[in-house]
Amino acid sequence: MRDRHLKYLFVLPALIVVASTAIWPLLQSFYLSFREWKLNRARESKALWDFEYDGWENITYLFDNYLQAVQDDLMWNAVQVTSIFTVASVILSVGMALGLALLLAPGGKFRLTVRTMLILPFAMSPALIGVSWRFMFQPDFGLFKAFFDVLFPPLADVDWLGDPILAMIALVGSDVWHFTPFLTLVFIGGLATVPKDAQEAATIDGATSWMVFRDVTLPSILPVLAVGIVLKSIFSLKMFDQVYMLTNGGPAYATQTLAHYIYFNGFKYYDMGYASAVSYMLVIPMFGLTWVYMKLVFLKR
Amino acid sequence: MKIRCFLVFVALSFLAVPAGAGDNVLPYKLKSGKPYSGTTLNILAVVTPQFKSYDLRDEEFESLTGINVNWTHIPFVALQEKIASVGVAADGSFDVVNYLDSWGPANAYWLEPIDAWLKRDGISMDRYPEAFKKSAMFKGETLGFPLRAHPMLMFYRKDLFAKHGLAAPKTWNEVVRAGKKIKQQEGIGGLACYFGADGNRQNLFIWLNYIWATGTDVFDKQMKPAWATPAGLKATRDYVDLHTKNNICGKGAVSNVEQDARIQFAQGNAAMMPVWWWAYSGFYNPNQSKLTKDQVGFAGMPSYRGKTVTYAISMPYSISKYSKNKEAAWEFMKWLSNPELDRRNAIERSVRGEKIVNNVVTHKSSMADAEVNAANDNIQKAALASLANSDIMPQIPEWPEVGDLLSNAIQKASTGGNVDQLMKEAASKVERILRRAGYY
Repeated sequence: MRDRHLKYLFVLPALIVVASTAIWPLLQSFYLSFREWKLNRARESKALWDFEYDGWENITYLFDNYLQAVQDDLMWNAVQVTSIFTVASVILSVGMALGLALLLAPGGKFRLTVRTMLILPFAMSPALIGVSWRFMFQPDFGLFKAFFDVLFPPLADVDWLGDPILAMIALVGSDVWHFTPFLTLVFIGGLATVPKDAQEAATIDGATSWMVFRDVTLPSILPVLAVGIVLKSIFSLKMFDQVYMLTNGGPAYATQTLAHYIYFNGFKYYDMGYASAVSYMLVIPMFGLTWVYMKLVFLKR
Repeated sequence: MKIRCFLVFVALSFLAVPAGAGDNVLPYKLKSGKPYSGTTLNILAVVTPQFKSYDLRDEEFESLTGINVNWTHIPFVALQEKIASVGVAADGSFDVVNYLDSWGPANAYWLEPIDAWLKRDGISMDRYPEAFKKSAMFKGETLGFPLRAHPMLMFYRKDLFAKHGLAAPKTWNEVVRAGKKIKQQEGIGGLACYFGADGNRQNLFIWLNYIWATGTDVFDKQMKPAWATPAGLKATRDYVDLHTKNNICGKGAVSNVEQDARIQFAQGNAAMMPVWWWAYSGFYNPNQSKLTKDQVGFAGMPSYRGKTVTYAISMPYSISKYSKNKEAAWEFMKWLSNPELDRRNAIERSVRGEKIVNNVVTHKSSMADAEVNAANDNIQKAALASLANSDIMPQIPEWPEVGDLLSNAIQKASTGGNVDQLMKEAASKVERILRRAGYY
């Protein structure tokens, strides 16, 4: 009996840490999302709806931050930008990672060296990547200018970060560069579990490499692929660091993701209640994706 | 002879009285008797050579008052968040804080007005140029001293202007003409432009010069957006046309922020740049620039349609309402803001063995001072002229959000967007924000 209780005691420190650094802020921000807290007017929040003054007929006041969000063009712009960014970065990262994984899976000294080197981009801080890429896109002395000067001069004078579409391409490019190596390593792990005899049997039966991949390899690694897609989607949805450092949401909101929009409203415009409400709107797709992830990882077992 | 000796004796006696009394009278109107001795003050300031120098010089204040001073220097990019967190924490962890003027109204509720102290100690804010003075005020109250403040100047390449027979531009039309000529013949940007919207609203700096010169303001008396008037829209079109139509800007004009444009000018990739006067030393510092002092000239801001109204900015120091040492903090503010310190800080190039290059002064007397000007190539005189007709950004708590809408509209216009439509859309969005905030 004592042993049964003792195990909870061991878990307690971890629970306290998680509760104070994750659960409590989550609950607090949920509470704030129904209140008005403008740091530019007061250091404490106040109720949006007061039963005594407003009565039940005005209960909608309670949802004022949420209603304001759905009426804000810039919030919908951020939703659109986040969606485009997520779809593009997930497709490109996963696609390229799968290709690289297939190339590097067989092993050998060279491939092992490349695999080891792959960890470097992922080990870099996203903020640092953002700054580095901003320098590389610098139109006067950036790396890309030098590169295009030699290979394709018409592109050398392009202001990449000054064009809405090119800025999005630059942002997606930096993210794909960051995440592809990590996903490659995950997929290499997945490929290692594919039964070799099934692949060999298919080859002996006259299947081409493509057919072996399509009918044997791909179905075998599908669960790993799904986990990779879900994880990358979650990371893309909450993309902030690279946006802040590379484009800062520009030009003219063209790359402003929801996380960046929330940050500006909370910490630049000091509207914490509103920022909390939009954060909880972002929680909805995140929650859905997390549920899918949990189902894939745990329930499959 | 005896009478003469007597008179001299009497005269000397009169002189001797205040001199003797002076043993207890401290300079800078500091309180004598060290009433706050042993107090420790925490100061939050932006990273800059000017304030690094004050930090190095504060031994004087500490020995005069017995008050200890701890400085925390924060890079500008992180300052706004730090200021917000200090205000929310409300624990008096910082007694004196340094912030950008346009953040002042948003934080005014926890900044201590200093008018009563000013009156008590006979300190007049008239010692500062009008725009600087205004930048430290909110709703008729003085929140602090504008101790780092900047007028705008037009920096230009003296060598290239001489080579092409050009004079320093006095109007924006002359800027366009000179810019076109230099871009065509030298292959570098005529003007280092910064239309990028990065949340600091830097692309509004020059725009405000244009708008104000037409007699338009950002808001009318009812706080309705006023930039969408025909004159305001024309001014905005002319500003954006520097890039989109006249094509005189350097590379990256749309995405560049002020720092990018400064680098562009310092690296010799643009021939002109309108920017703050503090940038001057960086333009010829061999560690930051390819240019020499002989190549860099400066002039007042160009006029638009015959009128010059310049934009000025400041970073005031204020006492926190949550400070537990407000009186001691006020003593520090008196020392920190004394005109002599301001003056010395722009003349002396070494403080306690550290090399400090600073040309920023904020007192009118320092700007007119011959020694200060001699040490800084007369940039203070040019600054004083630039400040003769100068203004600051609107002082409302909602300005960061409002200014960002404007800033993004201008950036979009600089990509080739429809100026009139974008500015009208921004006006309607701003009206919504101000209505929500209870302005109408």
